[in-house]
Amino acid sequence: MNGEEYSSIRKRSREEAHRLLFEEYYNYVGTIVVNHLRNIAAAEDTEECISDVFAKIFFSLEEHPVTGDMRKFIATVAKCTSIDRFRSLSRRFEKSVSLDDEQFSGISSDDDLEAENERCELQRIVADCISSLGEPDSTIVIQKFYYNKTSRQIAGLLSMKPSAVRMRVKRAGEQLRAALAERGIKEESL
Amino acid sequence: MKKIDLGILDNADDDIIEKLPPFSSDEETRKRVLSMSEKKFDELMNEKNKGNVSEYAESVSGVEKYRRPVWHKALGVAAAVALIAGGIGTAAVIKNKSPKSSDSMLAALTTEEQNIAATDTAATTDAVSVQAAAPVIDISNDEVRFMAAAYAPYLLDISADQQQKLAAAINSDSWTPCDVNAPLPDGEAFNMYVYNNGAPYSLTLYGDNTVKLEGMGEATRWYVPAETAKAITEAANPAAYENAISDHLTWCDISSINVNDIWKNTRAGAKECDMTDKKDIFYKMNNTLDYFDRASGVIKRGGFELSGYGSMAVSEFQVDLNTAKAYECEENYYGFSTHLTSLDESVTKDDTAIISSQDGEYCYTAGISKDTYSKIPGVVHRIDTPTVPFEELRPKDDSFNEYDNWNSRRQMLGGIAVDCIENYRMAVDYLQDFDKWDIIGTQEVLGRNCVRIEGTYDVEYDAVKKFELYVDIETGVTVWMNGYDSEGRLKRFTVVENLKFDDEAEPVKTPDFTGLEEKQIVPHYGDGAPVSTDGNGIPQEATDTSPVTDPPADNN
Repeated sequence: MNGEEYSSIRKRSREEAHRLLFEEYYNYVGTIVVNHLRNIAAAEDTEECISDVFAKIFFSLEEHPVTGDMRKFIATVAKCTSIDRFRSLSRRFEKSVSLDDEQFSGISSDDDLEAENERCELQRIVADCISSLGEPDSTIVIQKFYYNKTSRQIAGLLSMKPSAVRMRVKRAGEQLRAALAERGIKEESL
Repeated sequence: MKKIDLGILDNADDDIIEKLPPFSSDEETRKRVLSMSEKKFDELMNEKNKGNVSEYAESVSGVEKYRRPVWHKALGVAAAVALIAGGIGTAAVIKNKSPKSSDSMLAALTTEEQNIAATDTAATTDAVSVQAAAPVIDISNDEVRFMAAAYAPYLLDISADQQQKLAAAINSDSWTPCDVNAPLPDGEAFNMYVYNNGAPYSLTLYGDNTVKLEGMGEATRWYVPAETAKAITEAANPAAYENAISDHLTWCDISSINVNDIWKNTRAGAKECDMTDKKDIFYKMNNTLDYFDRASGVIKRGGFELSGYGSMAVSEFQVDLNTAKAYECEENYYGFSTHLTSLDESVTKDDTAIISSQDGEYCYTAGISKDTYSKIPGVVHRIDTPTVPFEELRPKDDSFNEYDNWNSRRQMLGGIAVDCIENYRMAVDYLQDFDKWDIIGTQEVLGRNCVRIEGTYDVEYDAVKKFELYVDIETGVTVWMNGYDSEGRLKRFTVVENLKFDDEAEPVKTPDFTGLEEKQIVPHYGDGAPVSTDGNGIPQEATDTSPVTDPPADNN
């Protein structure tokens, strides 16, 4: 759905426009939110943050329709909201948000540009290795080891039996380790 | 099995996020989250209807009337950020190592955050006991730029009028000291950068009417009178400026948002290219837009038939990539060989010039019809034409069949000055195969320092078998190109005279369409070549004037 399509549907039914946009971008927004909050947010906080993102998107689109592809716009709102949520959660847990905190490492400073480049490169390699597992193993690995879903939850998402998921988790995990090792990456460096 | 820690993927760049298998939830969770979203949306709408939207957010929204279709993407986001006050601004904040906070609209989303905000303001912090000398702030003769979350990563260049008003309002005699380490309040913050004759400093205004002064390695913080805070807030608001988007807002690289570097940037840092290396020449020619902001010149482009009779288009152009404004006036001449290029008496000329222009919002063309001019939405700003990496410029296969002919940045100016500043015909069509051309050396041509390239194709391509090309070393644009057939006859040529860049470039002209009737055209473009509703690939006139994102592709 692009901006024009959203506006067109919105003219007919706001609720319908919200629902369709939500359905299309829920996974994308969720990926961005989790990417920023994974280490600090409980599942409820993550859901709360995702709902904040969509509320803001809906609100903004009321006054400021977006033309063309909305992905960039949505990603920006999701990122902004996630960072704010991170700060809020950090305060709640009395965690000092250092400006150099690795949670903010997505925003580099001149001083650590080299380290940041290395980190980005490592991220790319890991993402490539996961992709190289093929489906459904790449999804299983990421759901299990990154989004911390249980085998039962993953099974529900993929219409598989939990036992099949567990088996594939083991095998795909080994394949991922091997792929990383082949690229010269040790697990402890992740 | 042992858990594999994939924490390395946290805070990944967009391209990596795109690669990851997406987050997913069961149906029940999705329904719950959607329901929460709707509830929060209703709360926001209620707040808005009650008039509880912050004054600043309202005023920024007011800028919308100036927005152009493509900028809308970027500034639509900015407007969202103005309302939700977060990320990009936060990013700038982090970069500057001065943590600021969120807009009240965000805090309104959860009462929990409101409570946190209420206990986290510098207003609760006592002023330092030692009375420090107030700084002398005189900005009347300095360059002043603003940055705020509402329009980051754009910066706002202050107008002369606003600068004088602001200079008068900043009465630093009445400032009182504040602990520089006092907690920063939630709410909008405004960064003001002052060049100060080469000794730059910044002033950040917070919601508790304190300002933080930073420069020369020192930082101090002060309570300022409400009038001063108000004057800064007003000056930082794009709504205070006529033609704010086209004349006052400049996109900038986030890494340059600091007191020393913000003056330099008007474009993202361009890759350093070794112009003795084919790969880098090819890259630079395809990414010329990274290497200048403004350009002007005269392009003479033409070709000859076997008889020696030929045509030549002479185009005067000016472009400003920051404001997405451009102008080109093309006149066409016809004649024989050297007569043509020297424009002597034997040469005939079309009686109508073709004018193409962009005003940052619309593309205009006049001259094709005698009594009308076309107005087409869909101007592309440079921020929406990111650098194309070398790998994506190359064909996917050895036979060059899978090259994405539309995967370049040449569409930005809709063909204006394309043969000079976005010379894809050379870069894409002739230079793709690195075995077919050589770097001969460097040479000054028409006042520009150029790298000279010569190439030969197995067969004539577009009537050209051999070519010599002079590429501007500084920018990658074409300065001169001659193309010869297999007999060595000149078949095509491009010469760019009076080529100037940036501060030396001529200002962009505004066309005068007085007396012509306006015809609005809404093109319907797909991912690549033009595709219209009737499938002919020709933009159709339409009554729907809603803007489109994809720009008109040039038909060269």
